[in-house]
Amino acid sequence: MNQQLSPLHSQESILEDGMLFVRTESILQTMAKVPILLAGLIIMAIAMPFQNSYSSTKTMDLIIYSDGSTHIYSEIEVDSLEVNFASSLFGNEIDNFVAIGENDILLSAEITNDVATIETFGSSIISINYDIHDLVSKEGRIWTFTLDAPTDYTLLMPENSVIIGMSALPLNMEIVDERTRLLLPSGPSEINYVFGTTTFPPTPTPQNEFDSTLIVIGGAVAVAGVIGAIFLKRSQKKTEKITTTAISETGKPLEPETIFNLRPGLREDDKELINFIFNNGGQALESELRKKFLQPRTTMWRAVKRLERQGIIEIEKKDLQNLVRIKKELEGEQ
Amino acid sequence: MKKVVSAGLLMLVASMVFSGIPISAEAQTDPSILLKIASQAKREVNQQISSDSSEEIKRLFEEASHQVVLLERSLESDDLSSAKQHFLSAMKMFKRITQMISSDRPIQELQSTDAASSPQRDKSNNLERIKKFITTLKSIAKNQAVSFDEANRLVDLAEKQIRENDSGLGETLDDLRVVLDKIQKDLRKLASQTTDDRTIKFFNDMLDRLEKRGADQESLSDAKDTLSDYEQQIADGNYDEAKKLKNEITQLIRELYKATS
Repeated sequence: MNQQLSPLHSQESILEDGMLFVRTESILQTMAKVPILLAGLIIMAIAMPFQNSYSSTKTMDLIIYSDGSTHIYSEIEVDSLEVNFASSLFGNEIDNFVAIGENDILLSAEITNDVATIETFGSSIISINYDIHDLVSKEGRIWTFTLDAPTDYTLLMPENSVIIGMSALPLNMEIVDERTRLLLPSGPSEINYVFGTTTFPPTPTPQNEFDSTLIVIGGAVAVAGVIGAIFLKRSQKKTEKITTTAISETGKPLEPETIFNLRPGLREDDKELINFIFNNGGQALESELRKKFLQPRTTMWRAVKRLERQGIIEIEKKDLQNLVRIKKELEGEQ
Repeated sequence: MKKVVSAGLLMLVASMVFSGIPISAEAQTDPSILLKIASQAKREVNQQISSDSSEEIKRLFEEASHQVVLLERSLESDDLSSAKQHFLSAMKMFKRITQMISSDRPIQELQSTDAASSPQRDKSNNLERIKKFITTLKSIAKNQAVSFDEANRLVDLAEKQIRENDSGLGETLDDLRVVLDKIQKDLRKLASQTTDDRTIKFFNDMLDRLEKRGADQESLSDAKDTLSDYEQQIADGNYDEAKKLKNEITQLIRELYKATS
């Protein structure tokens, strides 16, 4: 039980070169004791919550209105030991700012330029709502939304808008009340969009390419046709139609291929529509088409009307909705 | 024994440290949506292109369409990295085409085709924002005696005026703004009592905490006296004076907090 006390340095091996430097290994051997290390780690662990007590944005939801203004809802975790919380806003043009603390308590806030100082007084989570006019700009027909977000966020696009440019990869997308809602990652992102046009560029038709010579030739052919018709009538012979009619023999809607043969000038997107309607049993609600092709209401309506004008489909009202049906017969010019 | 205690402590500390470190989880893009967005853009841009469009526009569109095809192929072969590249390239080109078409078309045509730029539309958006604001105020006022009847009536009127393209809409929106300002003031007034109580409780808690941390007794005493004054001013309804005192206590507490940390 007699414990001998001996100085630590006596246990060290004497260095051969006899230099006065103390080697690192010696320090570790002599000074670094497990309890000291543990104490250090404990202090580090205790300090962790304080290090993490800075504010952080938990959720952020944005809604873009069709005039480019944006509503922002943000839920922020704040330091409950702080009296105030200074929240950076995404611009200077702010309307309808409301800060709400825990238990739906209205919090006082002062806005100076793009910073809102909110009296949090012990709240650990606050939510802020405001409208901002700085996030969307417009050039020509193109609207551009720009944001450098501190967290992942959702973005509800305006009704009838179509995204035509994007600098960041969206994490998800869904349709909510006929509006596109994107889930976007934190960091900078730019989204370019346009609204569905109310007027259409003229659909190219063979007539547009006719020159005056063709009109003269056409006129001559028409005159010849009239003379021929009179002649035929006189001869009381039955005439044959100059159009061919495709009729579905089974009573089912016409096959897409038959339609495409009879209407060779159909647009690619219209062909996709026809294929979808055909595969859907020959009919589909206009709202279904919008959902399937992610098109705004006006764009899809124009597409459907275009197909109706060409005699390919018919539109019926069903429970206040437009039911689009492929016709069972279709006339095509020979 | 010492070794067991040390090992136990080490495990405890390690678990505390690692639980404090946020796990960085990167959300992944759902690949199918890339094709949806690109296809939608393609359809829209295609509708803008006419036979009169320049060869450059047509060439770019072909190139962009090709990128969409490549995107689809990449997705089919689960090559997400290529898919992302094709998506971004296609979208860049669709944007460029729209810019080119936009600059080619006369201003009058652009205005007539832009459904979102009419003054009535702006007011309609204004109403939408106001409705959202009302919803937020209602969520705060759910248990308070604040009436939203007038605001609701004006919203209904504004909606009717939008439908009928009535020129009185601007005036209704102005009235609505006045009504909402009043509601907000009423809510602030009602909330002030609760806020004052919370503020006093918060300051008291903070001072207790600072005392435990060994803050300077003299400064603590000053802060406590100021807090008593603040409570008195609130009770007397001297809100301007109370606000000054509140800022003073806030500053004192902040300094004490810094000194003890």
